[in-house]
Order: sequence, then structure tokens, then C-alpha cells
Amino acid sequence: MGLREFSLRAFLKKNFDFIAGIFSEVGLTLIVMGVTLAICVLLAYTSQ
Amino acid sequence: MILPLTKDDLKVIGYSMSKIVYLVGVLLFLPIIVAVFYGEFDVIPFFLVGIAISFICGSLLYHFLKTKKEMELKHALVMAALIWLVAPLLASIPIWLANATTSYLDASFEGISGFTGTGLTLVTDIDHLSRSINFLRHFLQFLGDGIGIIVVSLSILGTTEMSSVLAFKGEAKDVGIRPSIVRTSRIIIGIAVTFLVIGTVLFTAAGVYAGLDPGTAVFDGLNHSMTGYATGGFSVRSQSLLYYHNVWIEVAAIVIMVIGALNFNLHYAVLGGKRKEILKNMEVRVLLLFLVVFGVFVSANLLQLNLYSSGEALFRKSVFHVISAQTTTGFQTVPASSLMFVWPVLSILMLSISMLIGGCANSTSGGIKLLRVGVLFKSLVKDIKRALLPKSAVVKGSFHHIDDVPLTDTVAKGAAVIALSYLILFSVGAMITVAHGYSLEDSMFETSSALSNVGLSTGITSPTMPATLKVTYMFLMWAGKLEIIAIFVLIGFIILALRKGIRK
Repeated sequence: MGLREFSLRAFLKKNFDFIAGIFSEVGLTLIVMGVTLAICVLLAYTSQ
Repeated sequence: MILPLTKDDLKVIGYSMSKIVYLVGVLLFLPIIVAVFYGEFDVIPFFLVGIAISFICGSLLYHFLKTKKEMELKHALVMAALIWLVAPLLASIPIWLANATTSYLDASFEGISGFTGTGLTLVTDIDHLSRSINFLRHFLQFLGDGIGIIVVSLSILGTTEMSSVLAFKGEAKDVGIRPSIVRTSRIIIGIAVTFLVIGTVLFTAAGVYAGLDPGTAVFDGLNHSMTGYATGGFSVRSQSLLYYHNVWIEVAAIVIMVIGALNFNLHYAVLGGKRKEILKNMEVRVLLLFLVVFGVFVSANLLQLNLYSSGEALFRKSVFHVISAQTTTGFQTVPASSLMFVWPVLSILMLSISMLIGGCANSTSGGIKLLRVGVLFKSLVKDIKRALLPKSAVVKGSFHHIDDVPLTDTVAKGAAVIALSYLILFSVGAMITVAHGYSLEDSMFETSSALSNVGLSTGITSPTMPATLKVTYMFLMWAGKLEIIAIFVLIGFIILALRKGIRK
């Protein structure tokens, strides 16, 4: 398929599960960071 | 009855080994491309010597031990144990010839640390190392631990279905994603390359934002992505990620470390559409629990001593090291000397326990593994229920890992055997380190770092440490990577050969 026939929409539709899976895994790491950062901020705040 | 060893046994192992030895030679061509790109022509002969020795060894094994006999479980386990010795010894030749280390022993240490995805280093001056040699160190981690050298050989060379399955067991990656093992190998490589690209983009973007020139940002990003996904922990900087003093590089590292510590089966399920699995999976829940619990305790302990006072500093120092330890990566954002002399004993001990537990099973991380810890905990609860309920009551247990898996006594026993073996080796390693004059907490920290293939260091691991300790840690890294059982089979093989000889 040439570059002219490339359709981002078709590509995303075809690989939706894969791309959404990557976002899920990165999302998990963001949850880990968010929770631990919140705890750190809370700990630092309560100790002052 | 255990049968005596035959010449055929040795031929099966040697012939299979020859293909991996050839592969090491072929893969050493890749750093040559890096050397040509950066104009480091003076180091190319060192790679060529490594390639030549690999090809000569491979040819000797191939021609003298050629056989059509099929591989059995014992052969696969012995072969796996030997591959993790032979491949690093060959790949470390260029490191030694380039004078990156002070001796071949140190270069071998670097090779084993690389292949096993540990990250402890004996290189004398990382900051001034040629880029191609530095690339080799990082590539070894991606190849050895990120993908698995046997997996690479299966996907490229192909082999019989049975021998491949057995070889996977030897590599402590009992992955059963697809019925065809060659297809499974290619899926593992595909997943690894996908996250390598994502990691490189994240690290590079963070590096450029931190003020690095684009060329350096790409080189550092690629190398850190390789060792981050492999949960290896080698760095192109002697101070590891501390060098950059940049929160976004640390965030990129956390993303890639946590992803690297996840189970391959989980990657396959999630990338294949089963996205809810990521929060239902027992192993992921145990990982989150340990990260939060250890994060809170280490942060509270450091806060108590006023080492770090802001929430951001606590996150970047304590939580970062908890994640680095739990995922068995080994990236550091505080100097080794601070871990040894400034950090409190309680934090050092908690990080040691975190390292011993390690990441998910069938992942790039080391340690006892979260799945086993979860299974042992559930098994304990099951036993307590059994004791409290009437005799006639049937106590059933299960855990969710891709599917609902029944918790049988056999599953619990398997987990307990590996956990016990780890704890015995950990105790022995720590005692040997203490015997060399180091404090108990630092000895426990460094031993768990070597055994669980982590790479965090309090500074014990250095070119000046005693040779006996270097050999001890090399053994621990090797045994930890293979989850010990393959080592026992190899030792059994040697004892059998010594006691009963080798028959025709």
C-alpha cells in the first residue's frame, strides 16, 4: 500500500485492540505513579 | 533409577549449544554497525576477535558433536544452564579487549550481569567508554533478559517442537502463549520490540526536554529503553539516571520498568483485546500492593530522618527505588554511597525484601516472583481455613491469572521449592559477603541485588572488590536467572559423570 492510500482511520480500526492494550499498560504505570505520588505528598504534608 | 550418562547425552547438548554459540558470533556484528556509525574504527578488531572465537567454538561443537538424537528435559536444562555461562564469556571478549575492565574476570562479570539482566557493573569508566562497547553492554541485557537468547535462537533457527518447549523451561520462561513455540518466540520478540520503540521515544523526548543534544538523547534513550524493558539496569552514565537530574527521564524509566516487569502472557492477553485482565490479574494486584506498601514504608522512614522533605523528592528518591527494586531493574537516582552511608537500615532492608520478591513470572524481571508469593499467601489462607473448618468441609482455592487457576497442593509446592531455594542461596550469599568485612544490611542488599538480577548497589560491587566475591556474585546472578533448578540438574549431571563415568 502506498503512502497516498494510507488511511489513519483504517489503521486505527484494524489495530484498535493493540493500541488500546498499549494505552492500558501505560495507564497502569500512570496509576502506580499517581497513587504513590499522592501518598508521598500526603506523608510530607502531614509531617510538617 | 537415574541412568548413567552416555556420549549421546553430551552430543545432544554440545550440538544444540553450537547453534547458540554461532548466534552470539552473528549478534556481535551489530555493535560493529554502531562503531562504524560513530567512527570508532579502533574498537572494531575487538568485536572481530569475539566473532572469530565464537565461530571457531561453534564449528568445533557442530562438527565433532553432530547428532540426530532428540533433546530430552535433562538436556534442555543443562543446555540452558551452560548457555548462560558460555554466551556471556564469549560476548565479554570485546569488553575485555577494549580495556573497559581491568581483567577478563571483570569482563566476564559484566557479561553475566548483562545477559542475566542484573546491571551490577565492574566497568572502570562508563562515562568515557566507546559508544559501541556501551551499546554492546546494553544490547546484551536486551538480548539475554529482554527477549531471551534461547527465544531468539528458536525464532531464527527454528527447531523441533519438543526440544523448544523443554528449552523454554530451562530459561525459566515457561510461556505457553501459542501452540507453536516458534510462533510464541516471535510474539515475545514482537512485544519486546514494540515496548523498546515506545521506551526509546519516551526517553528521547525526555532527554531533549532535559537539554541533551538530539543525538545523545537518542543514543541514551535507546540504551536505557533496552535495559529498562529488560529490567536490567545498565546505564550509559556512571551515576545511572541521577546524572540527568530530570523528573521526566525518571517518569519514562518508571513506565518502561513497570511494563518490563509484567508477565508475557498478560502482555499477549491485553494487547490482544483482553484489557480488563490488567486489573483482574492476581500478579498485577500483588505488584501494586507491594509497590504501595514498600513505597509508604520507605518514604515514611526517609521522612522520619528528614532526608527528603517534599512530596516530589520522596517520590523521586524513595518510590523510584522501590519500583526499581521491585521490578528488579536497578536504575538509581541516588549515589551508591548514599545508600550505604546515608539511607537508614530499615529502608535498605525493605528494598532487599522487595528485590528478593521481584516482578511477575514469565517476565524479564528476576526474584522469587509475585505469582509465587501470591500463590504461597493464598495457600496459607487456604490452610488456615482448613484448620478452622470442620473435618468434612472441602476447602477449595483458586487465583486469577489470565484464567481462573485452581490452587492445588502441587502448585503451592512448586512455588515453595523455588522460594526456599532462593532464600537458601540468599543466606549463603549474604554470609559470604559479611565474611569479606561488609555490614550485614549492605551484604543482604547486595546479595539480593545479585541473586534477583536487580543491579542496585550500595557500592560493594566495584572493580576493587575481592575476586572471591566477584565469583560469588557471578554464581548468584547465574543461579537467580535460571531459577536455580537448571543449576541443580547441571550439578547432578557433573556428579553423575564423575561417579559413573560416561558410557557409549
